Amino acid sequence: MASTHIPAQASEQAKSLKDYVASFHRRRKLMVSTSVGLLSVTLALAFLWPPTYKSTATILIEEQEIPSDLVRSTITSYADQRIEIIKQQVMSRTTLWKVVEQFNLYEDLRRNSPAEEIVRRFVKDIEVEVISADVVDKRTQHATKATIAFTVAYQNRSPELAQKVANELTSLFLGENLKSRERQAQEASSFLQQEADNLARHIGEIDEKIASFKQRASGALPELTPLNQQLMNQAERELMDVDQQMRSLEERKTYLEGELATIKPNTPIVSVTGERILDSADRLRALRAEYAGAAANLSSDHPDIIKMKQEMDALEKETGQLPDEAETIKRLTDARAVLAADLERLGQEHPDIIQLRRKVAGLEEEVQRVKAGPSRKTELRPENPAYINLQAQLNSATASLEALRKTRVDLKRRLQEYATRLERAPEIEPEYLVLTRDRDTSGQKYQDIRSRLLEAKVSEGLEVQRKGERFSLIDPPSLPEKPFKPNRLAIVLLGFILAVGGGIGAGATAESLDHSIRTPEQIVALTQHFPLAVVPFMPNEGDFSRVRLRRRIFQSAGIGAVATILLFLHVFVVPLDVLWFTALRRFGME
Amino acid sequence: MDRIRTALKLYKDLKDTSSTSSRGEGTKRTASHSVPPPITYTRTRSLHIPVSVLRGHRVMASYQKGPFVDAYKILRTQVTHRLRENGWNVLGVTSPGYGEGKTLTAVNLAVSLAMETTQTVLLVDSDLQDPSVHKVFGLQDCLGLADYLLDDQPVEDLLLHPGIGRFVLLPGGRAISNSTEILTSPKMVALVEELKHRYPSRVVIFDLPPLLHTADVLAFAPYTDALLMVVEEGRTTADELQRALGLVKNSRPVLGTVLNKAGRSSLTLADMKAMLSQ
Repeated sequence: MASTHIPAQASEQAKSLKDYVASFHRRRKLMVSTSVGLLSVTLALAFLWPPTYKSTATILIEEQEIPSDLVRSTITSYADQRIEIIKQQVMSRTTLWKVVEQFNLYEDLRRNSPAEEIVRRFVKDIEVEVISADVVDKRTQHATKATIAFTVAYQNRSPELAQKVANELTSLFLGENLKSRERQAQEASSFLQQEADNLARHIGEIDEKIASFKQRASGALPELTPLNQQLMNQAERELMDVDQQMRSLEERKTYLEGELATIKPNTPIVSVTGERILDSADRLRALRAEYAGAAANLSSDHPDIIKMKQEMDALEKETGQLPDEAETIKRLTDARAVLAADLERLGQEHPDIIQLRRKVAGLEEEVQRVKAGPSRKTELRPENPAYINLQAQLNSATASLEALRKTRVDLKRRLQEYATRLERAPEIEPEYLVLTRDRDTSGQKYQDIRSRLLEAKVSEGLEVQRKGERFSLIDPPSLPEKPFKPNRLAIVLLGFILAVGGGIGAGATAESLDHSIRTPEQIVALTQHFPLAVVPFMPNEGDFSRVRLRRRIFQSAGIGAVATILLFLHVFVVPLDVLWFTALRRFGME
Repeated sequence: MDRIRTALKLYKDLKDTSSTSSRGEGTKRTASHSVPPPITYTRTRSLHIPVSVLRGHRVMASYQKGPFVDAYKILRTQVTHRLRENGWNVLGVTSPGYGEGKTLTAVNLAVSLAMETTQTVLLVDSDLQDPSVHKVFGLQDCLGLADYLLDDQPVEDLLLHPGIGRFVLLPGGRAISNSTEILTSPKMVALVEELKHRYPSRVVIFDLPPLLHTADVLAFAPYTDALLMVVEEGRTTADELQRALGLVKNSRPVLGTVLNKAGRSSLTLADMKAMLSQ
């Protein structure tokens, strides 16, 4: 109501119900017309808003068929994450534009809007919703939300088009999923393959390095240290053994030589007469001794001498034994000693002395001859069995000794070598360790990657054979029969509420904007006096007929307008009976 | 309706005592002698106005009973009471704006006053820019105040008696533009003086133009004893009323206000029919 410039009075503060009724009565025309206007607008909206149809496909996310304990997929991302990725791939501009062109969507829009706008519109009409269920995580025992399915929906004015496009989108989603899974699995295995190859090459290089290193190290490898030590110990033991053997052989040899010295190589042959038959060598020696004595006494032309000489030559030829120089010198020395002793005693002229002198001279000559002659030694083959036995033993001892000596040298050398190896081992150890460590780690890694590669191959097989987690279309997009938009009933209901609210609001606004005086109380508030009189409005005939005329005009105009609209509708838009049944169907009252 | 009833009671009481208190200063007549003999207007032109015309212009005299008639009777009583209290007899009827019912209130107040046997009433249409009182009585253009002031027509020739009690009407005459100057001219002042004192028991009512739109009221107010402010329900705003009251606050006392056209917005066709049949 009108505000007053004088402080509010009790009558102003408390507006009674009567005042409200009066206000309502006063504003009824405005309120009714506003309400009717709003209602007709919303009703028109509810009926004329073209229907939009929505076709929806439900795609189930199936878990992989082979238990994940047996074969683990290389694709580990969450389902909804994957759906989102696929959504992005599917909803790329090029893909969508292809679909738009294929189905000739948004024909009017395409005439004068850029492609971007149309794609944006298309995206707006596509709905991808994830359906999740409450599940208990097997590992953590916590209740979580798991994505079990998702829906792909498309809305369009035409139900057929909505279904077709929804179908296309669904197949795009399914195809993209398969492609991406396969690609992912293949990428994983090819990556691992590449890594494995790289590692194998690396290992080969290291192996080569190690081999050459080993060659260079020539047995001084740290890992061979115990072996070298062992070998060295063994060699030392062998050396000691050999020394021992040599000593004993030495002793034995000495002994055998002694033994051998006491035994004549030739066994004397005793004749029947008991006379010892000399063997050729003894005979030669005897002859030589005899010859020396005889040569002192006899001249060289003496037939005995000649005979002896001939016999000696024959024997020498036989035995091959040339007159022994030492023996001759011994005899010469012996002869000289005898000569010297006898010379003192017998004097110069004694025949013995002369004889002795001759003997000495002869021996000297002999010595000269022997010395000058070829030192040909003719070995007499021993024939005494004992001698031969001993000699054989001696020979073998000597040979053994010789062999042992050689062995010893060899052992010494080996020992030296082992020692050198042991000394060098710490020197080369660090480098070797680096190499082996590299080899070990690379080897381990290689093993690891190999096993993973195998797993990835299996997983790839899983994906290629479509045995992994997959999307299966459980509810293909159907032909929508009822429009999903608009909710006409809701619009009408809202329209009613809006109409009532708008009417009341308009009335209230008009009332609050109207500052005119309405009641005597307002005048009292302004002037402190009650008006002298409150004159009611007195209508005259003119007022009455005007109001009546106006009312009639409004009534007939309203009826006429409704009739005209219905007529137009019937003639130009849709026959009324059809409209009636359509309306019934749209509101679901069939 | 209580209001009206009390007002009616008050009115009756006043009616009983009015004769004693009236014109106390001048004559010493008793109540029984206070009723003057019926006047026969010899010089004044008498008119016979058909009831349909009066009804068409909502003149209360055309109705026998009803809240409309009662309201004017209450107004009459209130006004007489106040006028006598102060010894006034010149009343200006105005309102803040156009079309709020000044003329109708002036006419009906005059008519209801004239219906009192003791009272003589002169209604002067001083809204010279748009004189309209004569139209209420179904008269075509006629000579009036303007003709007196400008063309020296004798007042006696201008007065009209519409045949209701002792009600004499001075029409406005032709419309003139410089009404403010004319209204404050010495001739007009002299006329007011003359009218005021010609008959002791006469009430002179001036129908004035709107207060907020012309200077006429402000200029003319000093020659009246008091002003009656007409307020139209649902049209005159509180602001307008306040401004109007503020304008005349220092020049002339405001006798009071009349809330006109009450209940118009809630009037239905059936109500109208009922009221018309009264």
